[in-house]
Amino acid sequence: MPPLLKMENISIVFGGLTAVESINFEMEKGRIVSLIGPNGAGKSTVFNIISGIYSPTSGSVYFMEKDITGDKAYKITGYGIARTFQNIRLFKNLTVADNVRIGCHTRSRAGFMGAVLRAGGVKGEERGITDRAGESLAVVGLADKREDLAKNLSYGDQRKLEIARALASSPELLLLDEPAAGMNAGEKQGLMEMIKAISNMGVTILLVEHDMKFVMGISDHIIVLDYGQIIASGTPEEVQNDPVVIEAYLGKEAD
Amino acid sequence: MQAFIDIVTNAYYIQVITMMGVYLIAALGLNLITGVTGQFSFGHAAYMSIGAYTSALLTMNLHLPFLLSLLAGGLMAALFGIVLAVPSMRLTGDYLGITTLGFGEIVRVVFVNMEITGGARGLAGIPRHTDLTVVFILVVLFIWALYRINNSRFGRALAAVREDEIAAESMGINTFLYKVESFAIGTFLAGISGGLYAHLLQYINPADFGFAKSFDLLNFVVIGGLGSIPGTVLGTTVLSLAPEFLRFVKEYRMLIYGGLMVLMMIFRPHGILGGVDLGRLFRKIADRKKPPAALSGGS
Repeated sequence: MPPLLKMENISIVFGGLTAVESINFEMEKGRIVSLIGPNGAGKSTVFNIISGIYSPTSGSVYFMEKDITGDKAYKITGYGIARTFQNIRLFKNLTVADNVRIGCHTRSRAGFMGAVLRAGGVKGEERGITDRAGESLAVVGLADKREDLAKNLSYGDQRKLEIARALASSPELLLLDEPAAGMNAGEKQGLMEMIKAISNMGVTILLVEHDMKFVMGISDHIIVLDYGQIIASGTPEEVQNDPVVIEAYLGKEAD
Repeated sequence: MQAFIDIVTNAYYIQVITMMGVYLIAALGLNLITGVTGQFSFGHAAYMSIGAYTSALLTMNLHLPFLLSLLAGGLMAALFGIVLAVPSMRLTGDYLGITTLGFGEIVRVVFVNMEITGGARGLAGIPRHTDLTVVFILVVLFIWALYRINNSRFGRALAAVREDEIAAESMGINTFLYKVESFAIGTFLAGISGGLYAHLLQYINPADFGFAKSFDLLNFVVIGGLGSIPGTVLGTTVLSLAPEFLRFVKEYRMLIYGGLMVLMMIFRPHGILGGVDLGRLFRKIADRKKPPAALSGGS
């Protein structure tokens, strides 16, 4: 079974700064993988490379065995990769429902002529989009807020909306960038269950997180990044006890 | 009652209202580019002039039927809209504004220097084909089409580009393509408006379509409500009719418009009706009355 996602020797240099170097990993379909590491380790950079916002300086990214290196972000979404953002990039002045409908953009076709004439299947497509949006909102529990403006939602609800919007495109791979940031313990518990439910729907999940309990509780596999390089990779138990990882986070014991 | 009939049948007032409808079409185009898609366009009048000259020359020299030459004027304007938009689409905010402003000036100067358009003397003797009926029908048609655009996958993509380009790209929207499309449609409308203008006043010259005109159009859209179709209608109506009924407004127009813009930006940056979506308000009220149900069945 070939890996769903494969990063091969990925490096990216910004000006004089090498943000990530020699990144090699594979993800299998159906898993929940977490990417962890101290601040500035390059986790969001890796996300941005996978989702097409950055083009790597060298190396290749393969998705379902297709080379997607350097492809534009809007194309990569079409291949089946969807993401959320660390600092929430919702369409603030649009409704919750419209935000999620836009998530369906890549699975629909109607252009400007279709908008005006509404001929040949466009009405059906719109109904399909609304249905799909409703399903995504139901998964995250925001169905009753569908006509609220995104900017008026609470912080926790905005995070949920980002996830619903990403789910609407029926992705194979979902990238969650710090989904638990700013949540309290109860909200994190709810989020863990939501992520497990999404995984049970068949979506492969790669997430970046800082909350160790959260990460250990949900991941099949963990990759640890430090200073732009992978320093460890394995199951939660292996990573927790890895001295290299402990040193990266806590520093070495004084002699 | 007699007074009412006098007003309604008065040729001058009919001309004023027809003219207002003509400007409204251009303003609706500008609203799509700037209000819905969030792209600055400070030279919109240039596209009116392209449409005006194209359609006038076609009816005068080639004796094309009016509606056909109107369409040709719109398409010509859209062509130039695309020609400008494609290289400019990587520019953001202010830089795009400056570029569109510069293009507006270039068009004006080109028309001043072209022989076939009559240069600085302008083009006179254009047959009078525009009347209130044609303008009214076109206004209704375009408003209907723009509402359909707003409530569609295409319109949502344009709004996404305005709200957050990076997020829009990540949702699968080719932002470059959508920005260019919105320019094409918006400038097409300006071209139609220009053609109607030419066949109403029967005389056009390049100075008619300079920055002052672009600034007027911008005011109609911004003060009425950026991104809102009823807002654009309100802004165009109020700012077109005010100079007719209030003498001081006519004389100090630029001063008053400038001052109004500043006040709007301070107290209500979205414009009078900006950010008010009547459809959404109705749906929200309807939602509260129904028991919660899965989201489906049309919007």
